[in-house]
Amino acid sequence: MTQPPLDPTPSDAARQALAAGPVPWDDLRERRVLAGIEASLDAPVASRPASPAPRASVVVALVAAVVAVAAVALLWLGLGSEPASLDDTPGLAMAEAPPVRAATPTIPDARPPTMALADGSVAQLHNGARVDVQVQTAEHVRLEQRSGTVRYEVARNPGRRFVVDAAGVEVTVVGTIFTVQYSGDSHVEVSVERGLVEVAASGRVAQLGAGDALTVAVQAEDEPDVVVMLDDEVTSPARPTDSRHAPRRSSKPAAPAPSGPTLEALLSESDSARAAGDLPRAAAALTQVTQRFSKDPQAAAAWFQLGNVQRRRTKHAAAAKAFANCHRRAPKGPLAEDARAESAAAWAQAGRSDKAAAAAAAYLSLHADGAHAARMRRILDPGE
Amino acid sequence: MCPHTVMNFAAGPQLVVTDDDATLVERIRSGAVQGVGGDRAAFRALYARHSRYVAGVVYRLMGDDADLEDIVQDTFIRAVERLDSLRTPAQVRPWLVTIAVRFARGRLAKRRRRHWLRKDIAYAAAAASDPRDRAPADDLYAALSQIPDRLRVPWCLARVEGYKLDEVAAICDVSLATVKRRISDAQTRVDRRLLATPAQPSGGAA
Repeated sequence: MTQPPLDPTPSDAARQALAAGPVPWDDLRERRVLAGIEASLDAPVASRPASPAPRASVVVALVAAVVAVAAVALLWLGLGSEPASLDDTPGLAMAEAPPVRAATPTIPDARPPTMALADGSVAQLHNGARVDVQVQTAEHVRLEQRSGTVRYEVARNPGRRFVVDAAGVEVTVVGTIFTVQYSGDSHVEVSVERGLVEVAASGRVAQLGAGDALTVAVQAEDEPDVVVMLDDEVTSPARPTDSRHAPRRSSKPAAPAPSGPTLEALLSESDSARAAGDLPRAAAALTQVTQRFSKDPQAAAAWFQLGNVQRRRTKHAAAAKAFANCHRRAPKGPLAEDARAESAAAWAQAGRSDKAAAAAAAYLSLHADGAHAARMRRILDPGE
Repeated sequence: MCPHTVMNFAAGPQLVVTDDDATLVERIRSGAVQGVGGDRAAFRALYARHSRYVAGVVYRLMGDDADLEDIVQDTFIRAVERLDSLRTPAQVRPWLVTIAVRFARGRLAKRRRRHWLRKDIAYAAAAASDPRDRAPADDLYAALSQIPDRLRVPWCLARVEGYKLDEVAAICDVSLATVKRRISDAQTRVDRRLLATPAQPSGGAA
């Protein structure tokens, strides 16, 4: 998929900048789009757009022509649904490519219903989500999410309190993008696209950055005593007077296993340490996870998280090793590609150009067209 | 009551992808993924393998990520619906790109119509982590926004994505001669506009 060298042109620098730039595609987006696809595929076939009607009588054809003209006019004005027009020049046809005709709308099921709020915030509803507006004033918006998955894009407004309540889990936000998924029984999942998030559950607090996700499991028979707080990384809501928002010690810590803390307890320890800014304690907890539970499926994620923690501690070599262990632990896992890239980047930050180059080359050998390929090539050839 | 937290960075099933594309395609076909109970694992594996690549092509073609998720989603939905028309399952990636490019072109055309109507839409350029890196891409997209999509798309595929001319011709569903002419035409127009654009300050870049 490469071309012979071309003569230099004024656009070369721009093309190179473009090809080398990052693609805003992360695990969250990947998962969200997959959920949308599967929701559409699971929808009844009858609800999908029908194929173009077969040829009918002249009268019907005339009526259809009038309608088609109107539809084309609407499409041209940008009011119709997704057009995806065909090239207007006949030529070599690619028979395998499914035709996408201008008058054919895309799958309506793929477009999640959207709820626009008066303050400019938008909620996209997925998976049969149901949201009730409880309060909507200039100072306070409160929504109750009863089910499903909802992606909230909250307009920044420090003077307004925005709260989402999902089965007792409260998400308070100033301005960010996050998704709350409530399965209706056992857990609430919070994932963050932008901003910084603090999740508190019965005294345990986790800090999530963009791209992180956290599942909070609750017992259905009891009212969940869970508070989720979200802060924008720039504007933090004042909350010292609200006792629910203060980090608390767990009144019922997880029971330690005979040989030491459980995996769950160690992860909670790491979460609370990160939230408190105690990175050495977080690293120690995560290290214990990777050593004592090395066979657990969560070990790879723990290695990845340890890499992030070590990087925040500016221990770049340790971060590089942690990322490397992540992809070694799960070489085909969803974090493997990112871990390979972050390992190379961390080695570069540590000043170990030899290891960085080796890691970057290893990445490119596996992911020549990967999301981090341009970054890796820059590590291999900084002057590129 | 003692809720517990579970780190869930890798939410969703762990995908252990071992089958090649052709096998995955056959599994999806035979499993009728459209229905509940189809070979959803095969589809997820195929999606995991190609969605990032498709997203990269779409992002660079569009110049921003405003429609990125919609286009990727539409692409894979359409791919599943029309999987029977894929004659060479091993070539599923270029086939997906072909579908994605068509959706992207539709979006570009829609933007252009809206722009024509409103005349007030600021062009959203590609994001870059370093503002100094962004200026060339901004200039390029400003230039690309002024040339027809039938020129922009093959030019991006050939000059940015690095596709061979015959591949670009197949993706764009035009002849090789046409695609050569369009890329050349696009190159001339882009260069002319870039040369007319005042050079951006370096911002102190070394």
